[in-house]
This record gives sequence, C-alpha cells and structure tokens, in this order.
Amino acid sequence: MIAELTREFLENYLSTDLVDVAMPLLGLFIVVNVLLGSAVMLTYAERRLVARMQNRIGPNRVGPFGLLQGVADLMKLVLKEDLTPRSADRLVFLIAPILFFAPAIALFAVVPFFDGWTVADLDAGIVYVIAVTSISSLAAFAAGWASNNKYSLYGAVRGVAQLVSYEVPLILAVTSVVVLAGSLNLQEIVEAQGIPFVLVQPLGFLIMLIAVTAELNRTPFDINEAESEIVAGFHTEYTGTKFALIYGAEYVAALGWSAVIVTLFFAGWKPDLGGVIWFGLKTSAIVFLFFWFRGTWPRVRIDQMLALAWKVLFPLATVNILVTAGEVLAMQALFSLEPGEALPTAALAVIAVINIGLTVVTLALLGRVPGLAKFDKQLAVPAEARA
Amino acid sequence: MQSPNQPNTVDSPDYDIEPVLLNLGPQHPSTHGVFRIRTLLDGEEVVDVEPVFGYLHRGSSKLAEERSYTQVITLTDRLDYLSGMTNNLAYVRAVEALAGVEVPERAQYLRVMTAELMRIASHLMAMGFLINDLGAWVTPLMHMFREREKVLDLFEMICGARITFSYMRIGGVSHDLPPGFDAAVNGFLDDFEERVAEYEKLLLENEILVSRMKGIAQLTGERAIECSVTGPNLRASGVNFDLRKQAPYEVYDRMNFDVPVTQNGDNWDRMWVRLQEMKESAKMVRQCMADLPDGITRTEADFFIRPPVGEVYSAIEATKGELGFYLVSDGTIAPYRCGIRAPSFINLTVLRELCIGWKLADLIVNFGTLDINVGEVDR
Repeated sequence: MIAELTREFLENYLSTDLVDVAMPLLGLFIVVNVLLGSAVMLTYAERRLVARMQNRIGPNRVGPFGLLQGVADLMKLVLKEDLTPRSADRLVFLIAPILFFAPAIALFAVVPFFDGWTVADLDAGIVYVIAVTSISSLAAFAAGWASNNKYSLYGAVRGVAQLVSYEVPLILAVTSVVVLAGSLNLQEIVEAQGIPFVLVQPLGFLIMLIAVTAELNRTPFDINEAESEIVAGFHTEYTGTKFALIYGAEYVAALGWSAVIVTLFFAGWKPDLGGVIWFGLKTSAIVFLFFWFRGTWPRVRIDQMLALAWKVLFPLATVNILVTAGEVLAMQALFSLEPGEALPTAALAVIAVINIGLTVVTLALLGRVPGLAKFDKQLAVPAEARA
Repeated sequence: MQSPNQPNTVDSPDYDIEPVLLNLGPQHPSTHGVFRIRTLLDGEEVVDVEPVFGYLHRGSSKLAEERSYTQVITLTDRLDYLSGMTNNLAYVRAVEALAGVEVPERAQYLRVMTAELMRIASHLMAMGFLINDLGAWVTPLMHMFREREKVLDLFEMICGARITFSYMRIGGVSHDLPPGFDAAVNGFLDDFEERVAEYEKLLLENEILVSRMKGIAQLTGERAIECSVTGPNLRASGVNFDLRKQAPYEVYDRMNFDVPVTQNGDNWDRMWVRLQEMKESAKMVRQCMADLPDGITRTEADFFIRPPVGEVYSAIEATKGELGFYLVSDGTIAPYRCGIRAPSFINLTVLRELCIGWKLADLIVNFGTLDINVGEVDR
C-alpha cells in the first residue's frame, strides 16, 4: 500500500517510464539504508547483550542508554588515518573490504520482507543467495593474502577451508527445504509454509544453523579471526574505514543470514501480524541466537571443525534430503497431487511428525557413535604419592 | 640446508617443508603479558617452539641487594603480580630462617589464610584466561574476575592494598584483622562455594572444552620431575608433591586438606587440579578463621635487621609451584645475594615439548594451562 501511494506521488512529477525505473531504486535505497542503520545498532546490541552475559554493563555513555555508541564508533573509524602496510598488495588490499561488504548487502535483494515486498523477486532466489554469499570467502582470502602478514595469511587459509567445507551442508540443508516447497523462489517458499518448516525440517534447521554460524565466522567457529591465536585473522592489518566495512559486513551478513533462515524455516513474514515488524522480530531473535553463542561458547579447533562438517553434517544433510524427497513423493501419492503442486498443510503436518521423531532419534544416536560419544566425564581421583 | 633426519628447529629450519616462522608476541592477545613465542609452523601444526622472554625484566634480584631486608618485601609483590601474598610469604620466611626470628601463632594463621585466599584469586585468573584463550570471548573471565574482586576486597580490608600487598613482615604480618572481617570472609566463602559448583557445572560439562583439552599435550610424571616442574602442573601429571604436605610450613600441618592429583597430565587435568585446589583453599580459609588464636601478630624485629653471616634457601608452595628464595647475608642490612626460584620460569621448560606436534590453537591452550606469569618469569 505504501508502495502504491509512493507510486501515485511520484507519477505527479515524473513520467510513467521514469517511475518504473525509480521505484526499485527507491526500494533499494530504503533497504540499504535500513540495513546500514541496523548494522550500526547491532554492534551496540551485541555489546550490550554480551556485556549482560558477562556480568558487565556495556557501553552506556554515548546518548541515552549508550544508543549512539555505534554511531560514535563508526565516526571514529571513518575519521581514522587509513593505513596500508608498505608490503601489501595495494589494489587487492583496497578491493577486499568492498568485496566483503557488497555481497552481504546484495543478499537482501531477494529477501521477502513482506507479501510482495522484495527488491528483486527472482525465481532462482535461493540459488542467488548461495552464489552471492560465497563471494565473501573469496574476499576474506583476498584480504588475508593482500595484507602480507602471517596472521592474516593464516586467517585467510583457515577461512577458505572453513567456508568451503560449510557451504556443502548449508546447500544440502537448503535443498531439503526447496524439495518441500517445490520452488527456488523465496516468496513462494514462504507461501508454501502452512506449518513453519522448522517443525517440518528440524534436522535441516539445525544443520543450517550450524553451517550459517560457520559461514558468519561467529563463535564457536570464529577460527579465521581467532583473537587468542591469530590476533584478528584476515583483517589484522585493516584500519579506519576499511576495517569499518569488514566489521560492518559481518553484522549485515549476520542479519542477512538470519533473514534467510527466517524465510526458509520460520515462515518468513507469515502469519500476517503488523507487516514487516513480524519479520523483523523473528530475524532479531535469530541474530540474538548468534550473539548468545558468542557470549557463551569457546572455539573449536580447525580439524575438529572440518571433521564436524564432513563427518557429521554432510552425511546427515544428505540423508535428510533423501528422507524428505521420499516423504514428499509419498505425500503426493497419498493426497493425489500433481508433481510441483504445493503440499497441503495436512501433508506437512504428517511429515513434521515423522521428521521430529527422526531428528530426536538421530540426535540420540549421534551421542553413541564412536568418536562422537559423550566424553568420559568421570573425574579423576586423587592418587597415591609417587614422589 | 640440513639432512632430512635432523629435526627442524627455530634456528635452523629445514626449508624442504616450507615452514612458517611465526612470532607470537611480545604484543599478542594471549601471551599473558609480554611473552614471546617463536613458533615454527607446518601449516597448522607446530614444528618447533622457542620461548623468548626478558621483556618485563626489572632486575629484582639485583635491586634486592641495594635495599634493606624489609624493603625487599615490596619487590616481591611485583614478581608474580597475581599472587603477591605468597611471594611476600616466601621471602619473609627466608629472612626469618636466616635471622632466626620467631613468628607468633596468630600471625602464622593469618599468613596461611591470606596465602590460601591468594591461591583462590590466582587460580581464578589462571582458569579465566585459559578459557579466554580457548576462544570463549571474555565471559568466563569476567565471571571469575567477579570472585577475584571479592578476594581483593578482603585483602583491602586487611592491609589497604589490592595488588601490591606487602602484608607479610619479618616476624609476622603488618596488620591484625579489621573489625567485621569475620563476616566478610564467611560471606565470601559461602558465595564462593556456590560459584565453584557453578563453574564445575558450566566448564566440566562443556563438550567443546572437553574436546579441546582432554588428551592434549600430555606430560608424564617422570618428564615433569626431570624438568623440575612444580605446582598444579606437576600434580596433574600424577606426582603427589605439595610442599604444604611434604614439608609443612607455618601451620599447614594443622590444616585439614587434600591435595588433588590426577594421572593424565593433559590440559584438562591441569585445569581440573586448579579448580579442585580452589575448593581446598576455601576449606583451609574457613579452618583458619575458626581456629584463629588470640595474641600478637608480629614479633618485634629491627627494621634494619642484620641477619648473621650465612645463607639460606627457603621455599613454599606458591600458587604456581615451588617459590624459593635463596638469601646470602654478609651481616649488613641488605642481602648480599637474593636468588629467586620462580616456578613460572621453571615450568616453562616443558613448553616446547608440550607444543610440538599439536596445532597452533593447542599451543595457546598449552601455554595457558601452564599458568605462566611473565612478571615472575622475567623477575
């Protein structure tokens, strides 16, 4: 409705052709600015929330409740001297932060904020999401390589290993949703969710959550910027505006992936309760989950992390797709649907019951697999004197 | 170029494998001060490690020769700045042994109590920074800081200082307990027992912590003894050696406490031993407060005390291991020689062999579990 009003308003001043061009640009303008504002506020939100978890108060000096802390930090970073190490590859060093930031923003082009509120309603929306976000691994590697610093190089190499590994279970988890919804279009995936897919695909959701945490380099998978090991990883050498871009991109990406998770698993903007606010709340809840991880968990080692991706998540996700595909075929036969027709809510409910059961069984069994078994928590006993 | 069967070292790397020589520190987020580790890495794997120290060298031993015996107490505060009380205690015990000064019973109890409180504070920091190194941002650290603050508050009540106490004096302690200390220390202990239970629940059952620490960097008891490792690191390797039990000083022989010992000698055990020692220390503090006798807290000794010509080595079980002072007196007011056996420094001996073959991420954790304090390493 707002879109129609705006259109009418613009048509008073511009020709219809120009308005056709202006409308998406206007949408883009709004989305990008809301995103940048959100990223700045998210830095504040994370610092405050994690501070609470850490028995601290957090930033509370700049503005009411410290709300302007993010703005102050941003200003400080932008005004800072822009340093480039003498031995750095200057061009790549300059391009990398932009390359890191752009995909995070571009991700939002296909996110359905509300019914019909999409900057670009692509039919292959989810493919676009995956394609665009994998650019960030290239950017991280470029940044690490161009810095000509050993810590950065280590961060870059770790980052590539991590992102390439976790891309696989991530895509497989997404595929199971696509199989259920019968569409690659995010808007249609939202509409297909008579029941939120988190209930229909609990295992897929868990795999997706873990893989996204790794994609975002957030704790416990923050090994490519592991502070206690490699200082700041691939962005060790970055200062000022370039650092602000990289730092901001991580928050925009967190927001973007949360929005994708909400779209795929939490029925996006549905049910319709007050427009885009509902979508925003769900997204914030997922973002909070990432903050929570960061406030509470230690980091896994790189070999453990890769083992988790290839030995646990990859087989699980593969089996999950097969099971889901079988279920969809069975439901199509049961409800006598045409191939490609959306599943009715009743069919989704049946699949949900089966899959929740399967997930519980899988998680219980995982604890018994050798090598993944619960570690021996029995405490050591005081020994006899030996010296 | 070396022959292939010779091991790679930091000084003569075999460039066939193209290792990376990485300088960790002295300015690095997890080198616990200004410590530098030259690391030779084959990918993520540690090939060789060389600790480089001296960035915090203040010449404490030499400074001690220029000061009277009483003045040296202030230098000892600054050795291991996370456990000033035990440093004070080790030094004044050496001087008392040299000069033959008796210590009143009440002062002995106060010394044991403050030393054990100090052990709690020091182990809290060791574990907090260790888990920080494990990547848990600073959440556990901040929670452990909270408990340490309370210990420091207690110390502030006793002697007015929070880090550099100089509480121990030759022949006793500087102040008696202030009014209201009884309630304060009991309040802290009640709270602390709950907190330790909480830490045990949160840390010992965390899957990531277990997988990062169990079985990593094992140190055998034999090797630990060969390298003169002492303190919790030694006891984690299955050697039941604690000066508080083996050579009791002050009133430790009257204390009722267990020495936690584990068999594996890995990172997990080193953390676990510290966690248990805090509980034992809390027990001892309670006992000290219950048994505290009346009387004076200090024998009158000359400010410019002149011990007879001679030498003495006296050691205590400090928070990080056996802290010993070797004093030589030439009959003047200042020690002729003041040697310090710093446990942090000697425990570093095993750092290299603990790290070789493990990952870069493990190196940081191994370093954390050894619980080094650079102030004590460099002196």
